[in-house]
Amino acid sequence: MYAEKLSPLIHRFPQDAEALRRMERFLGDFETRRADDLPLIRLNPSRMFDILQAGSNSRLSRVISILIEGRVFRRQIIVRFPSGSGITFSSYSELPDTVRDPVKDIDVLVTEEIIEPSYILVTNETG
Amino acid sequence: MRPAEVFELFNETWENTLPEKRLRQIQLVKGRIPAEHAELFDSMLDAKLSGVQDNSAATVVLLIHGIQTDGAWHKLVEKELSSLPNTNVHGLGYNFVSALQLASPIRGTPIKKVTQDIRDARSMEPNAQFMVIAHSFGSYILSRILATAPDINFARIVLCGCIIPADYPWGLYTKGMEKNSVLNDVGTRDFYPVLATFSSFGYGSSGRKGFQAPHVKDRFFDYGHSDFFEPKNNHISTYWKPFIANGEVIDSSWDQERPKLTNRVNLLTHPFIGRSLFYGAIVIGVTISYFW
Repeated sequence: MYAEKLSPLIHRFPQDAEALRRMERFLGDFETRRADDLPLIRLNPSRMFDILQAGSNSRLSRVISILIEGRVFRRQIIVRFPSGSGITFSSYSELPDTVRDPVKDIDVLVTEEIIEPSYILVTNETG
Repeated sequence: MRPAEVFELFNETWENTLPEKRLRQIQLVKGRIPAEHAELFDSMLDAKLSGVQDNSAATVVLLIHGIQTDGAWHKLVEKELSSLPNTNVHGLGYNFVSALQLASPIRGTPIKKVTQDIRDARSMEPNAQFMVIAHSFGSYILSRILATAPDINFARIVLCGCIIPADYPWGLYTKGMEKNSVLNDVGTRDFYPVLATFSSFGYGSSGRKGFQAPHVKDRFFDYGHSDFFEPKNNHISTYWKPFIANGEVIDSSWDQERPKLTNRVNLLTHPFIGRSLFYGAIVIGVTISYFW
């Protein structure tokens, strides 16, 4: 399933083809072993860095942008509350200046320290 | 806007903004860049927020083609070397260079283009070690860049079908490089370096005779000008991949078996005799045809 999505990207971006193949292999292995859990896959940038063997921040960014624009993954930004739970946003432009921690019932300033970007698989075309 | 400029803009914004204002500032700047780069901008922010650090083993291999192969071999090298961990291969291109332009002294345009491309690649991967593989006219471009752009240097260099003059002062441009970090793969059936030497200026026959210099490791093969890329020779995987991966130089058996250079080649590649013979022959030919 994901091989079909990645294959055109591999051809379209030859300079990043090997990194994309690594992601293709990762997803293929996962699909073989735990197909039902595929929609639960959540990768953070550090894990992406390891899977893609990106080597550098710039390459990681480039390949992630290819995967997102190719609708293989979509970004999910978690703003973590002091209480431990969090609220998710789908883009940085949606982030408000403050969020309310419902457990502690306080307003929390949205800063770099409490933001956790991650990527989840696009499991259908409307995702 | 080039991707390298996007990276520079992002990094400048990140570094020059107070931490508590960065998120807003990054979004403001993102709104001013072309939409095609917006996702890249956000992905850079992801990496920064997650504290991802460049791997110290990250390697970028740049490829510079000649005028006849138009970079078709880049794909072969990319495919072979990209399987190395943390290795990123970039083929660098330039607009068409005709044989006439190759022979003329006006060669600045492709050199400027490739110089800018290398600087862009460097700014995108500031902590990576850079290596380069250059073929034919690409080797000449590389030689001019090393001589004129002191900010550009490489950890390892591979030359093939090389047309750099044999007396090129490698010692000036290999400071800081480890021993045997410049490989010159020579094809003993390659006539192009000979032709380039006697028919024009600024080129040399190092791709046929070797540099025979302490800073360069010459390695000989029973090849023509572009046989390094012939799949049947497995040259990339056998000889270049180990060198790029860990600096290992695999000896060629042809080093011992290669035939001696003929007098014809020696004469034609002589800096004065070759050109005198060539241009003398042209003058005589034109004169004869005029009076005939």
